Amino acid sequence: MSARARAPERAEPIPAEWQKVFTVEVVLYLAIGLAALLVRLWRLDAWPLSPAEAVQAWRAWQIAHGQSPALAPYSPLLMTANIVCFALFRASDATARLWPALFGAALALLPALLRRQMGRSAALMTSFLLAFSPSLLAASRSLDGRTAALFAGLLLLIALCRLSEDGGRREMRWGAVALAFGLLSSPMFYSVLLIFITGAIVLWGARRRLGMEEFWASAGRRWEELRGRPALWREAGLLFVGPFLLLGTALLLNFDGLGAAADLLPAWGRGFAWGAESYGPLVVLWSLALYETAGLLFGIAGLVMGIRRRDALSVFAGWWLVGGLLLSLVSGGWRPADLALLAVPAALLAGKALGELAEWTAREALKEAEWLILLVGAVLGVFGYLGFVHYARTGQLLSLLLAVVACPLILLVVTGVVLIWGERRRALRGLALLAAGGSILLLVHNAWFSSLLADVSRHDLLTAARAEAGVRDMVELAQRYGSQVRGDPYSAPILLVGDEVEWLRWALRDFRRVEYVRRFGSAGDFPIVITPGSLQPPLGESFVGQDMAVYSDWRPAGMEGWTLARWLVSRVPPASPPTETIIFWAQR
Amino acid sequence: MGAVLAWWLAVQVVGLLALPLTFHVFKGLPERGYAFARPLGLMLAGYVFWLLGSLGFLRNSLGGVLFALVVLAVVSVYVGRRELGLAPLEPGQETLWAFLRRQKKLVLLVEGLFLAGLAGWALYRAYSPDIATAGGEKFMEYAFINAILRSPRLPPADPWLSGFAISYYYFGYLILSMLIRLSGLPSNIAFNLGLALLFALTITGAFSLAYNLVALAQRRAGREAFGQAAGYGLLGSLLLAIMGNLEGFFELLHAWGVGGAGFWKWLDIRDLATLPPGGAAVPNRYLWWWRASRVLQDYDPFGNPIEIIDEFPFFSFMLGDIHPHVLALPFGLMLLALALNLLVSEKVYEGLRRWGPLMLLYALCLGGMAFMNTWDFPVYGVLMVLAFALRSYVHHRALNREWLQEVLGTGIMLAAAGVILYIPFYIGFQSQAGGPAFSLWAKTRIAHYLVMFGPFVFIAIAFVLAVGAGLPAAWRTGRLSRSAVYIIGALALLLAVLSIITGRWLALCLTLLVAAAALVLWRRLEEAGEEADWPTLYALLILLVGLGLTFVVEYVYLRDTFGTRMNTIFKFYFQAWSMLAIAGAYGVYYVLNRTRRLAFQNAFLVGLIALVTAGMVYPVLAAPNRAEGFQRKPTLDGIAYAAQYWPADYAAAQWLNAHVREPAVILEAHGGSYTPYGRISAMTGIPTLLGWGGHELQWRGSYDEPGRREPDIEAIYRSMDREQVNALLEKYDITYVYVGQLEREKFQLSQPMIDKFGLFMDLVYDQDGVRIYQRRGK
Repeated sequence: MSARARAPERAEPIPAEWQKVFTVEVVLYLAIGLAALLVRLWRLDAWPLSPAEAVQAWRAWQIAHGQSPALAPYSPLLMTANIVCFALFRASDATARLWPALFGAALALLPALLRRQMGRSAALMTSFLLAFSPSLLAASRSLDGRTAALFAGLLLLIALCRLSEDGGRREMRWGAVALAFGLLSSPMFYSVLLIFITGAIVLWGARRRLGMEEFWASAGRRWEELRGRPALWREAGLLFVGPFLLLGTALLLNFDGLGAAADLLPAWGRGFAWGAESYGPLVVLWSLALYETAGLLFGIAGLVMGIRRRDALSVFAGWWLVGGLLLSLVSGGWRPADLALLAVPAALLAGKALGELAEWTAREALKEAEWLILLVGAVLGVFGYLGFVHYARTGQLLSLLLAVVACPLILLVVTGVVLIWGERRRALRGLALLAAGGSILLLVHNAWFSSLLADVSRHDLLTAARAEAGVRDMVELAQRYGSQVRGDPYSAPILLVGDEVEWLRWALRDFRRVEYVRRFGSAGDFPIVITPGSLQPPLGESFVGQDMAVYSDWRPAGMEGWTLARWLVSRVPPASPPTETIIFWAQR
Repeated sequence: MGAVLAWWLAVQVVGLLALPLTFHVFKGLPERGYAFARPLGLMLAGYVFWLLGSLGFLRNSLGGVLFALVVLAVVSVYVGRRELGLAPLEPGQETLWAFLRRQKKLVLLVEGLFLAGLAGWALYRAYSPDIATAGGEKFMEYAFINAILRSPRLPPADPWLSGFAISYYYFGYLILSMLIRLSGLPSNIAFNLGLALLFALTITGAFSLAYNLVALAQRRAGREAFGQAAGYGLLGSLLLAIMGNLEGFFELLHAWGVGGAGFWKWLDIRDLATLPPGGAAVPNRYLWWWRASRVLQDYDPFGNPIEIIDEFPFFSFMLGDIHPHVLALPFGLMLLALALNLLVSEKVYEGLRRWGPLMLLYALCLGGMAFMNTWDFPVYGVLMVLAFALRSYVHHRALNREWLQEVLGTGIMLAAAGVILYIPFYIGFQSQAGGPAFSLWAKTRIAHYLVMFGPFVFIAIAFVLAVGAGLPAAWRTGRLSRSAVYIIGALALLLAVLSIITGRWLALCLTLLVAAAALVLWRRLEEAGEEADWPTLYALLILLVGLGLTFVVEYVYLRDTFGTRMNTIFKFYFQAWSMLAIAGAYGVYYVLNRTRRLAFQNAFLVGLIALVTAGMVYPVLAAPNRAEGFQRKPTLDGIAYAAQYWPADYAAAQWLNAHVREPAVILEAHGGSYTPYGRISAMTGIPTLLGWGGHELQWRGSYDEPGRREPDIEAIYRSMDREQVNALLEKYDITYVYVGQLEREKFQLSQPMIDKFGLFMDLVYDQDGVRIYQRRGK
């Protein structure tokens, strides 16, 4: 009897080179990055630059054209970026907003550097949340240094995190560059620094209570190791000073940039002063709950998980969230765009929790109990949403009761049944998956309304303070006047009168002669005079004027019950926002 | 109270940031320069802020100040990293923390002294806070501070000559403005707190110097005693900052009716040269305390009296002017400490000798004096070079070519670096100074000199006698260098003969005293071995320089718009006072602890107590008189009086401060110095076309530009020609025209002349007879 010939073993397929690089994870990151870029760049010039944006852009335009701007607050980092942009491309509202968008997209990809510390799924989920967070998206689509500050802050955190483990030269470089970027970006970076410094102090002080002695001991040993490498510190110092000087001074074209960078700190301090324009702590809380629901809900879960597992990164992110919230509550100068400060740590924590959930789901397939909860939840969710929409449209209380009482009650009953069945983990997972789905839908809904629907977003809290179409109408009118009277759309001399309209110089940048005066003297040889709506200069019969709305700033006041529901569903406010107008005077 | 706390906190922050650097630099001193952390921090942060601001990198804003402080902190931590424990220590060094623990009593004493000085003087100022137009330069100083605060960039605009930058040594005012921004206080309150700060820094600086000298001597003798050193430290503070000259004592005698008419006529102090009235317990003449600063009296060849200013620190603090000589006082003491540090520390000497980083710091501090009070630069520069020369001699053990090269090279390098580091200041700086001139007929009487410096002269003579006790024996045994004696002797002889020929008896006496001190110093230098008696050598050095300053002005003065030696004596005597006071404090220690003759010690003690008591009469009696008997309700608001005396102008200035943020020019009436003219620009910092013309002449050495503006100002106010007025407004880029009581009176304005502005300007303020018009189309 002969031995049976063994069947040859099947060899492992050797992955192609591209497969080694383009793993599923990499492809997902690319997809998230692309999507983040897309939503940030799409119709970036949907509405004109607001006064604050216009001042920043105008100064950059002046420097790019060899002029010396007057002293004013601005972000030196964005100033440099804009100067380069305007020199390379045509200056426009879109190119002015380009860099915050790029920083925002880059911010979304940073969690990839924390894959090892957070876990791959967690890092991916965090990226996703950062890419589509409504507050981060709104900040990315505005000419403002916030996204750059948060990018720098997160990069700094990543560098510190990796340095505390086994990081070296590369992480020191990241940290140095992050610090340079951050100090040139926005006053918000000082909030980040304060949170980081106090976080380190508090967490060190509470190390025993949090069970993190080992982490701090290890971090201490790393510090001693790094202290004994002066070359590393010298290099980091150079990598801080060099970019700080070059980017701060727009490659030595704008020495005032250092002065502007220095003024960011007192500007941050002034942001805590309370005044008539302050929003109040309540707005901070409900806007956080509304716009960052996923981050908040799963962030809390992530924080609890992190504390239980003594995960330093999660605990620190938790401090960032709590510290950021405290700062927002006490800051009289808080603006809705400042929610972005809380969105980043919320995303880190929520990503951790969602990543765990995803891995759990991948490890253990869904069973009947979970499918039941998901199905029932989805159906109830749709019905509940429809009921809420109906209430928002008609004001019928029954629809509201259906949406906020009946549907949750039914879901509760179903969940209770599953629990009674003894499937506690299943019930929890089912609910968690349901919550994840719902909060992500809400995320997308809010992101869409606030940033991607131009007409709707004027009544969204994140993007309510904005310039109106009247700015473009003004430019168009001036161009038509120039064409008709002088044969050249940009030839008509324009006189801007009053502090309130100085920001319009950006919109009129392409006109050959635009002069600005604070008080009206006479029209002189200016055939076009633009004044605030409240000013009626003595121009005589030879001029005719036309009103234009150029700026609006909607505030969520007086909304409750049905009006609140309407606003939540379709961003229709109870009253139109107040607008600021100009008068466009043209010589007959 | 809150204002004092905010001010104290702001200064403390600067001091704490500079402490590691100070601790590192002053490694030679027992006290490690702890008391000088604040002035060093202020000077370095001020330098960074000024330089980067002048080059356009920083704005004149709170952000700029914070940036400068960050740079200071980074430099301080880097330089002092070993002392902070961030890097391994060198053998024999201790960390800053160990020092603070070991010297707790010293630290607490210095901090307590500083706080007492600051709070105490602030309280005193609260009873006489007025930033008055007359009786000093306060109004000008206030105008400078406000102009600096309002200027968006550096160099700051001249408040009294629009379109021009300040042409004055404004570094001290810039440092004060930094503290104003940091503390968030308004300038009208910070002005008085600034004075209190200078007082506090002066007493702690004097304490530190005297303490260090005595502690070094104790260490050398192997008998360290904190209490004794601290006691002499406090004596140093007393002699420098609190004791007055003897004029106060004579005022008291005069009030009591002591002395005959002949005596008072012979003494020839103005206001006291009459028969004493007698019958009063204390002097009660109106502003009697002022006379202490006008003891000396010159006469021209026709017998007409020429005013000479001879202020001393307590007078200046009491007067309340934050003039450059007062502003520079604590920083001058810091330079004295740096010189002492150089003498006692081998490392510091090597650092300077090799032109290392320490040279940069020394040059920066020395150069800063030129920017703060130019008169101080050559004096402290010479002192620094002399200190270096002494140290170098001990190193080389001979006056040879190497020694000369080293001294000259380091001296030139120090001076050159001190100038180069402050080049942006020198560009555009104009001065009235016209070079040296010989004092042909003016000479100081010995009596006046003794009224001025009596206690110090007494201590100096005793000190020189005590130190020079071994001189004759050294001469006999050949242990005193013959060449030194011959050189010093020849010079002294020459000067003595000159003095006799010109009838300058004071100069003769000073020649003898200086020669004796020089011989004594030389003897000590020659016998200096490994452990030279540095404190004694230092004290002799500054005694020589101090006496030398008072000697020089007997022959030479700096020509200026005053045309007399008034200003030279003013500045040199003030500097001499500091040096003589510090040398005096150590001299007292030396005589009482290092001489063996009890009779000598006892006689000295009796004389010292008598003279110091006589010197203390002035502060005890003058201070309450200056504060009007403490009758007023205390306030630190320096222009609260304006609300009472010029309510309309005061209210208008408040309005301008609240509403005008952009750079602007305001036209108001110009006039003579020490008058209310230029009040609006002084109270707001908004530049005007012309303020105190006389002061512009002093600052710029020329009246060309002010002279051109005077008729134009009058034309703007009086002319009814709209075209002409508009053209002038355009020419000078005037934003606002101010019409108040002074303008009406000075230019005899009729109502149509005022109303005309309304035809082409906007009336933006109209209250209590004051109108402010704003130009249109601007």
